[in-house]
Amino acid sequence: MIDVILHALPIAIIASTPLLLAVEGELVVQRAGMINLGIEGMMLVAAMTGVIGQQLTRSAAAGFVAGIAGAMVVAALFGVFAIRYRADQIVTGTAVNLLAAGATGFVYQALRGGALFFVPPMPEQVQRLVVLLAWLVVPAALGLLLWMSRFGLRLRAAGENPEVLAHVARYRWCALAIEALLAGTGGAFLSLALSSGFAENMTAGRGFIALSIVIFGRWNVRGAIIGTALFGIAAALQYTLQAMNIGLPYHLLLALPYVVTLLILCGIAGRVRAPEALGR
Amino acid sequence: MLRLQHITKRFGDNLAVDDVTLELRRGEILALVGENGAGKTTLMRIAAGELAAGSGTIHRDGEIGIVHQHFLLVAGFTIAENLALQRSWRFASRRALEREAETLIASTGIRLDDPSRRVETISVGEKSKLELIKAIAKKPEVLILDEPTSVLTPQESAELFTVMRALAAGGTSVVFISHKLPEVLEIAHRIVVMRGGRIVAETEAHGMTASDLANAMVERTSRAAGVASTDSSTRGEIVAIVGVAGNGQTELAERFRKENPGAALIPEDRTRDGIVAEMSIAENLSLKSRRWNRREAAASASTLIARYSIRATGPDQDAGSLSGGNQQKVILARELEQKPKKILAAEPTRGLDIEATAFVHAQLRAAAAGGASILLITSDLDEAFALADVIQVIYRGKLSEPLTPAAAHERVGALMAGIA
Repeated sequence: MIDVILHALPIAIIASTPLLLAVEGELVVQRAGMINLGIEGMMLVAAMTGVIGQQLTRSAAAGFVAGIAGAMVVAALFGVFAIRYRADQIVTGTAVNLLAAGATGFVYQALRGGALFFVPPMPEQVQRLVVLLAWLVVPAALGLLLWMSRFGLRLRAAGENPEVLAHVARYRWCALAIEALLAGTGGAFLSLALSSGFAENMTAGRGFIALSIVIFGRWNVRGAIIGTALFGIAAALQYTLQAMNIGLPYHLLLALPYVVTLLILCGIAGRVRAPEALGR
Repeated sequence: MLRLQHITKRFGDNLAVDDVTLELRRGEILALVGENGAGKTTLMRIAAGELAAGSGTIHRDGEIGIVHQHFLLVAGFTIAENLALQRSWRFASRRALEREAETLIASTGIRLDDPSRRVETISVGEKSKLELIKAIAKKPEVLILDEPTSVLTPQESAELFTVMRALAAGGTSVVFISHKLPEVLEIAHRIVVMRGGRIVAETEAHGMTASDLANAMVERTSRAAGVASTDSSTRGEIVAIVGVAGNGQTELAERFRKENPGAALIPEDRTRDGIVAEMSIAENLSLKSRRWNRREAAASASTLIARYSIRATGPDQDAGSLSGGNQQKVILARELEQKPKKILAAEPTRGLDIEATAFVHAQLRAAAAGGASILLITSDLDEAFALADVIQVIYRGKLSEPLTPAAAHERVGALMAGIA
């Protein structure tokens, strides 16, 4: 069993990098008091704009920049309604997701026929760099930013009791921008590195899984990393187990990552309370 | 310093502040007294720049600090983090923030231990101290304190007065909003009385008596609070639990609640546990009813509003928009109309003015006269002596033997301090 896990580990780390970036982004946003369901749409749009950017410039870096820009546009849309007009965040997030799915689907269908949505494999070094960023640099940076800086203290105050701050909106917009940066990178990584291009609805619920990992990870960076790693390993293991044909129905195996993540994260002690003003 | 000229403020049809002119002197302690709804808080929020005046001119010179009755704290943060929110810094470890908080707290002369504690775990008195430290840290020229002593123990109030005197001696002007008249006479240099949005009296504190002030505040001399004389066999007993806040009162109330389902509850934190702010008065009054019918509820609410003299526009008004005293009357109406056998009243008059306090006391006496036994948990000794048949002191989670009020007079101080 250990052999199987060790074998699955490198694949798991790479494959769950987009998920981790999304979890990290959503963590920042929820700490600032927002629930952004629209993260799914952000990743999906980033996956598409990333491919378009890469195709137009033939540069992976430009692809990431275009992906982040796409995510920023979606984040801005969410922010205008949820922050500026104080609309219900769940409804806004859902609407953003539907719009993102519809818009990317439309563009994909409209431009079908060309080889536009197929990209060459990403250079190995770029891929490694992103994985390293997601698993080591971003967690360290978030730890410093959220828990050891005045900016982070105030951002978290926006999530706990907005009444104490004079400029709640400012901190929430900053949090959204950070999320767009991270989830946009994740979405672009998905289409540029993990696949050979864009496919309709290719994020396949990663945004929602990210959302639940943030919650089960109890709104801290350590929980986010452990949760994502568990999910990633269980997901990789699931394929291996299917291939080994151990006699369990594959439906059960498909559920494995979710069950494992849920069980283990429930057992991790820590701060259980959500940011007090979450969703308000 | 601060000069207000012809300030007027209207909320809808309600004239909250009516042509008020007031000037603050350097280094004085000015007490602003008046009943709930007299316009004290509105006037001071205008002075601090939190509300815009409808008309009039304001001349401000320097920073104005204001400590509200309603705390502006982050419950999930530590004391140190709450203090760090308003200071300017870039990066710091938790430990460094705690050290800085310790230095800051020490510099204000207020005693508040261990800044690594989360605010949700500290007592109301400590939260109030933390708010005061936050305000003093900004080195204001004028410091406004809105009923700071309503949640403090006598010892904490004495500590606050020492700090206020030190600030005034250092040149800060302090505005002290209160309706506890003995305190006002003890601390203030000058007293301003407000009623119905206007200043009705302005006087040096020297030589004033509490009854002079009370008369100016309520414009009548007799106070309605007669004890109903009843047959002692059917009369319920009022047991008062007194003690310094944080000695187990909350746990005692919790145990009473568990052991006496169906008892009437007048909770300590009325806005959190007593009413649903977003619901109407009629809905709040019906929360304990078995059946609910919109029309009947509105009709019975109108009756209760009249009977308990709740100052409201009607049964449909949101309970959250009522003043503290009127919210408490809504709670009393709901709880006492059930004709309960047992009543738990925790700090039933905290933050209420003289008139509302007298009303609450009269209602509790009437309920006892009607046969209900009452457990009164209070940090106001006057209240305990005014109401109780039996007094017990709570200290570190233990109750003293039951004392008669006469016996309690001698021993209560020592028992509260844990030295008897």
